Parts: sequence; C-alpha cells; structure tokens
Amino acid sequence: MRLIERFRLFIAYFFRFVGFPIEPSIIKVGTPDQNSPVLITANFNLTVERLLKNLRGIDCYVLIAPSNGINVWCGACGGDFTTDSVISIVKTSGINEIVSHRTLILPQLSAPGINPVIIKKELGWDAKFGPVYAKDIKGYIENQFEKTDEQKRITFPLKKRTEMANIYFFIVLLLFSIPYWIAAIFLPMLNLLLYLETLIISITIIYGSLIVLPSIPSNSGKIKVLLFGVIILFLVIFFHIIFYINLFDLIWDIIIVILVTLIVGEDFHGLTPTYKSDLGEKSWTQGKKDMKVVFGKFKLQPYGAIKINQEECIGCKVCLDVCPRDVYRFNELNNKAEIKQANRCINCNACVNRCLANCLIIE
Amino acid sequence: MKSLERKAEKYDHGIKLLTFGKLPKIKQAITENYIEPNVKLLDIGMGTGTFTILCAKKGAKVTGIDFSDKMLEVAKENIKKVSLDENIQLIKMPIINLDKEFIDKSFDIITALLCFSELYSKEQDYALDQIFRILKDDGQFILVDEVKPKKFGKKVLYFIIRIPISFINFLKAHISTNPLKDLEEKIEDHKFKIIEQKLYLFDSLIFMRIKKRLNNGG
Repeated sequence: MRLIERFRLFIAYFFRFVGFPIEPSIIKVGTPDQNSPVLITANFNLTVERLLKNLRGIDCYVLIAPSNGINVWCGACGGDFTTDSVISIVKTSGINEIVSHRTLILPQLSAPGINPVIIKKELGWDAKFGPVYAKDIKGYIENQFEKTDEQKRITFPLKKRTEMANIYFFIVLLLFSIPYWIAAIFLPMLNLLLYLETLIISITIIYGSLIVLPSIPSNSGKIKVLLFGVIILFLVIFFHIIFYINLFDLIWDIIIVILVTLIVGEDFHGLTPTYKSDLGEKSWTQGKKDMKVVFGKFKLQPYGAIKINQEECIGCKVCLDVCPRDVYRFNELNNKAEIKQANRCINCNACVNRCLANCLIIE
Repeated sequence: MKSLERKAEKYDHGIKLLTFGKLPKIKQAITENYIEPNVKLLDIGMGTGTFTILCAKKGAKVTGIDFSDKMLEVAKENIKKVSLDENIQLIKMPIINLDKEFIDKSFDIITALLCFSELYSKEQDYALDQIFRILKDDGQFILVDEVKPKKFGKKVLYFIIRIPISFINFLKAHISTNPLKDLEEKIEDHKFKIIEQKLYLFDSLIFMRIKKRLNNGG
C-alpha cells in the first residue's frame, strides 16, 4: 500500500489540477491531549503529506476536510474547500468529544472560501486563520497563536518556481513526445538530435523564464516571456550559424521557440502566486473568439483593482489578517483599514469575502 | 459532483452522457411507479431540479435541497418554466446540516439521485442516520447512484468504456465521479432494509428502494 501511495504522490505532483483526494479523517500528530490545537487542511494527498512533514515535533490534531482532492488555496477560490467542508469534518470526526477547547486553526489561504462567522454559528467553534505556510505553524503555536507579518505573506522562492517549471515541462514533454515519435516512424527527418534540440529549447524557456521571473522589469507576464523567447530565438539562430546543421532543423527550432513561448506566455503570471493573472474570465472567452489569447493581449489587470469604502469600514482588521500580499495598512488615527499598495493585490478575494462590513470591492 | 458547480448549466447534459441516457429514463420510471399525488417528498441533492419537477407534476409536495447556489439558480429557472412553484420548495443547504432542519418522521419519500457518491464515507453514515430520523416509519428512501461493478468481466468492460468517457466529460463539463463501494452493507448497518434493487449499465448504476427496518420485525 505504501508503494501505491508513493506512486499517487508522484502522479499528483504533475497532475495536481485534476485533484488527488485521500479519505477525510482525523489524524493524531505526536501525543495530543484534550488541550492540543486542532488544525484543518484540505484532502489533497500532497498537501497532507507536506503538512504532516512540517508538523513533526508538535502535538496536535489534524482534521482533513473533504475538498475533492484539491489543495487549500485553489479549493477555497474554486468552491471545493468551503465552509461546508469544515462543518462536515467537525461533525463527522467526533472532535467535539476529543478536545475540551473550541478553537480551529485554518490555513490562511483558505480565507477566500471559508467563513468563520458561519462556523461559529453552526458549530460553536472559533475559527482562526493561521499562517500561510506549514513550516510556520510551529512558531505560530509557540507564539500563543499570533502570527507575525512575515507568516502572512505568500512567497515564490526558487524552489517553488522550479517545482512549477517541473510540472509545466512534464506536461509539455508528454504532449510533445508521443506525437513526435509516432510521426518519426513516417518522417525520417524527425531524428533523435532534433528531439533533443526541442527538449533543450523547452527546458531553457520554461525553467529559464520561471527562474528569472522576478528580475525582469515588466508588469505583463506575457512580455516577460516574450523577452525571454526573443533572447532564446537569437541564441538558436546563432547556434545554427556556427554549427550549420540543415535548414529544416533551423525552421523547426524557430517554430518550437515561438510555440513554447506562446504556451508558457499565455498566462505566465497566472502560474505564480505573487502576480495577478493576465487572463480574466472575460478576456478568456472573448479571446477564444478572436484568437487574441494566442496572438497576445497586453491588457493589464483584466480583473480590476481593489477598492475600499472607508465610510463603512468598522476597523475589524480581518483584511490585514487574511491578505497574503501586504496590501493593507491600519490607520490608528481613525481606526480604519486603508489600501497601502493596490498594485500588489492578486485578486484572491480573501479580504473581499471575509470583510465583516462588506466594504471591500474589486472593480 | 462538486467540481461541476462552476458549470451547472452543463450538468444535465454531462450526466446524460455519463449514464448513456439511462438516468432520465430511470427518473421517469421512478415518478411513474412510486410517486403518488400529495405525498411529502424530500429530494436530497436536487441539482438542476429535473427530477423534482417530474415529481411535482405528479402532484407531490416536494422539498428540494442542494448546497450549490449555481445549481439552485438553474433549478429555479427550470421550475419557473413549468410554473409549479406552489408544489416545490427549495432550500439551499449542505447535506451536513440535515440535523438542523426538518422534524422527525416528516417525509413519505426521500430521494437521493447521484448524491451519495459525492459524500465521503462518514458523511454517508451521517446522511443515512438523518434520513432514518426524518423518514416516516412506512416511508421509503429511493437511492440511485454509481457503484463499482462486482463481477470481474463487467469490471473490465466498465473500465474500458468508462475511462475515455469520464475523461471527455471532465474536460467538457468538469464532471468527475466517485462510484460507491459496499453500499448494501452500509444501508443494512443503518437499520434500513433494501426491498428492491436494480442494476444498469454493466452493474455500474444502481437503483434501490429502501425501507426502515423497525424493531417489531416489520
């Protein structure tokens, strides 16, 4: 069984968008007692695996809530990891009899989909949003369930960027290799050298663009990748001029560079958690009609910008608690929240959905 | 089919494809054979309301519940078209809140069509407990759902036919399904007895008529 689980984790790594559920349940970590904290997570197998790895040395209960095998953030934004998931697992796990306190710790990124007000009303439990990352949970618990500003922020370090590139490259590899080798049976010019050239170009563009992502100065993901693609294109032509192979190879390589650039660039910022997606729902449907999705649509902020109605703000500080991008600042003078840097907002809707006064809007 | 929530308007079509057009026929058959005028009926996971409307047309007083806003919107539109508003009551609630609604022994018929396969094992236990509570002693519970075929030959057939169809459906309508296992045992464990059972589509779709197993042997 352990081997099958390992294999499922491996597949889930690359095909995470499909959802890889594990059975929702209650898990004891360490030797918890009736005062131990209760953590909630989604039932995506990779999420649970990584969470448990980070909880070593802590005594607590983990409730794995049903979310169709989708991870916390995607589940919360897409309607899979919701208030109902939490209500369901609390009711069916029997946690009420196991612990004496009534405080749940939710992952901060579940804020777009989970409403602590309803949880309090339906279950009588207080739900608090903990840190974004599992590695910070230990510090969070030791710090009396108060998180530092750093623990609220989403980051996209090199390790995560490489992981994203792995996924993208694997899918491109899969989509490309099978048709290529089938076609190679009939077309002699499709040889191993050309295949390797194609792979090297894909690897350079996918990994390269994701690795240098933060250092390219542009507001559009598409432009970032296009810039990168142009450089690769010159390198390819340069390579061909020096080691002249043949004309077919040159044309093939140029087409591959353009194709991979377009595929990666289509929604480059949408691949990242720190930039707003270049494609809105609207521009997607519209773009499909007039092919603008393929031929570049450089419109920025298709989703609109965050606005606050300060007159209605009651100073509950929920937005400061759930925002992973440090958009807000609290004004102590009039006891209201204000927007510090709107351009950092990634439209995750956490603050809009959780605001107790309904005074936030994305226009 | 939670993942379908975003594409509620495509739900009916997707389901028809997945069940090879069988489900609409089963719905029709249930309404003709078991629904009588003026019975109180609860439709759990009503979805787009096709079955609810069939029952209401027959004269049943139907309460439909679903957790999804978008499904309910589609259902409301469908109900408006046939103008049966007085026979149908819609409530937005997840199944996990059944213990807060409805008084004991208040329904003649409870139906759950393709809804149990969306629940995880302990939610199913919970739902069966609650259904037992709100169903009248002589009432019946009608369950239609996907199951995993038991016989090896049918398992293989099912696997070969279902995988590509599921894949197409996932791409088109975001339908994914999670067929049930050991359903009969579970139902028997919750003080119910199965009085009728039919299998369709290589034993992958089950229809069950279930009654309460009362202590006095009845």
